[in-house]
Amino acid sequence: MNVVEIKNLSKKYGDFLALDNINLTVESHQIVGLVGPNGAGKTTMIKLICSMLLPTNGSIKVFGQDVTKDVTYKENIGYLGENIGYYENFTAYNYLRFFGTFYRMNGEKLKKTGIEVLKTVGLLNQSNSKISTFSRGMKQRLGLARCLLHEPDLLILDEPMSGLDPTGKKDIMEKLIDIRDSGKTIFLSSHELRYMDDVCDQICVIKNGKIIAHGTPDTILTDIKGMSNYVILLKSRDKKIDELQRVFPEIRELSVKQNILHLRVKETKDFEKKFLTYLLQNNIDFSIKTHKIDAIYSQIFEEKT
Amino acid sequence: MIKRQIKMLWNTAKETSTEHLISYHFIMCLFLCCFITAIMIWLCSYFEDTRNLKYTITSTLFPLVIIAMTYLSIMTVNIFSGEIDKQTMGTLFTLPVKRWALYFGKILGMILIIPVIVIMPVGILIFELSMIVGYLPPVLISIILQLALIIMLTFIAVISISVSVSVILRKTLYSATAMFLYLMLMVFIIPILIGGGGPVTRYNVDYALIFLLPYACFSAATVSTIILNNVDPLLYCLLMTYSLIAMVYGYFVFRRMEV
Repeated sequence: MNVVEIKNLSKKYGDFLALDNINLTVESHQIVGLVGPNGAGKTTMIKLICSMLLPTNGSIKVFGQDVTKDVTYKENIGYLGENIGYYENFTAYNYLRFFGTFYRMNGEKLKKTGIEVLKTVGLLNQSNSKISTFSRGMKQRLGLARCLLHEPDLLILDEPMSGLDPTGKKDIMEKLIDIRDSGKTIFLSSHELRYMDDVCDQICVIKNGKIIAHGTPDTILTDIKGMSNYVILLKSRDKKIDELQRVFPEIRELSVKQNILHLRVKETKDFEKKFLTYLLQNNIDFSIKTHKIDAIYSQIFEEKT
Repeated sequence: MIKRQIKMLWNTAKETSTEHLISYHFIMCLFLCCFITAIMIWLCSYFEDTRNLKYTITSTLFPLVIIAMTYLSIMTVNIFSGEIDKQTMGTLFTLPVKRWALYFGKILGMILIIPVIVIMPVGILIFELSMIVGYLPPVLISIILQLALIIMLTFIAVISISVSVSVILRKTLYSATAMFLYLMLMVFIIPILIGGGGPVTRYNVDYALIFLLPYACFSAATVSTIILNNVDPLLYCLLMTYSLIAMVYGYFVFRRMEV
């Protein structure tokens, strides 16, 4: 089932074309990541889906409803923006209560759900604290609690991790996976490519208002014949490391800084297998992590970065 | 669907008015209105002939109108431009509420606080007058009630104009400055042009028609009360027309607003 269907969508700000003839579908039970540099049109697209902006051309359907004509679909979405404001004089709980009333929630149900979501985002102890005393990360978590309050089927998150510390980012990402596993759909944009790599089932790469790639990270990587970035944590510096580029011609760039080996590798079929075997055979102690979206991003936006 | 949206409108209105009614600013404003009314009635009755009670009543109500009008216009700017500036309006746009329900809900929320701001000072006025003169003839009570009604309509018109200004200018600073200049124009400049201002102005409903300002209507209404013993019905109609035009115009801007 398609949760979001965007057809021939364009958005102009005066003479500036922010989105140019976008076509996109988001299927249910997935985490779809929107990736692109600043000014690519990510936030514009998200705001159009939430009808905070009006399209110049084209149509957007969410749960089959045209966003410019109906608002009932909004009962089933939760939106968290990057720079949204908060009612600073409200307490965390009152903030949730205020929004809950617009989703036909009241009384005991609202109280119970409010407490539950505050607990989920780790703000239960601050439920009676004023929002003005919150840090940016705490506000971001409160925003996520608001999104979860009415148990929407679609979460639209614009940079949900901005302002969070690494633990907070990890917590949010784990929470997003739990939410996806509970049958919800998540549409998120973020610059945190490594976290996106861990959670996104599909990614949508946007550049200058156009979608230039859409699919699973693996598919896109194959499509664009990209490079993969590898970060290998070495327990000790080994002379054999210097020979890697000779042994593996796929390795285009190699650098070692403070026992962290960075590799930029042209994707080949059995590279990972051969490479790991080599490391093991030569008793090189390591741990490894790949970043596909990082690779896609740097490949596509090479001229920018 | 409509029923649901009307419920949303009411919900928005309730939240808006509750937020204001429990705020420190509102309590301060209410206290000031009551205090000024109480002081004014004593001053007027001391310096003027208490037999000319109509004059005393109208003089007393002018400061109340100026204070409350200023407060309401600032608060109205805050719930529209303020929310756009603080970027909370965007979150409201993602709620399952139609724009018209949100817009008119916010306006209704502001309108709901008007009776509180009017009834208490007017109650003090009636109480104090009855203490001073011993007995209030029904005609005076009728005049007070008519003026209370025209004050409420004046406030509604001011709120409507503030809303239009807010949604057009969007920035709180611009909207607040524009409303300040507008209030200055209403309270000082136009009354001077009319000829002295306040209750000393000779009654001429044309002024209210020429100067499309709520205060001109209120000013004309007070003089109409002194001369005709009641408020000219045309002034009620004028105020309602101003309010309606400003509200509808603001709505068409708000409906297409992007945040």
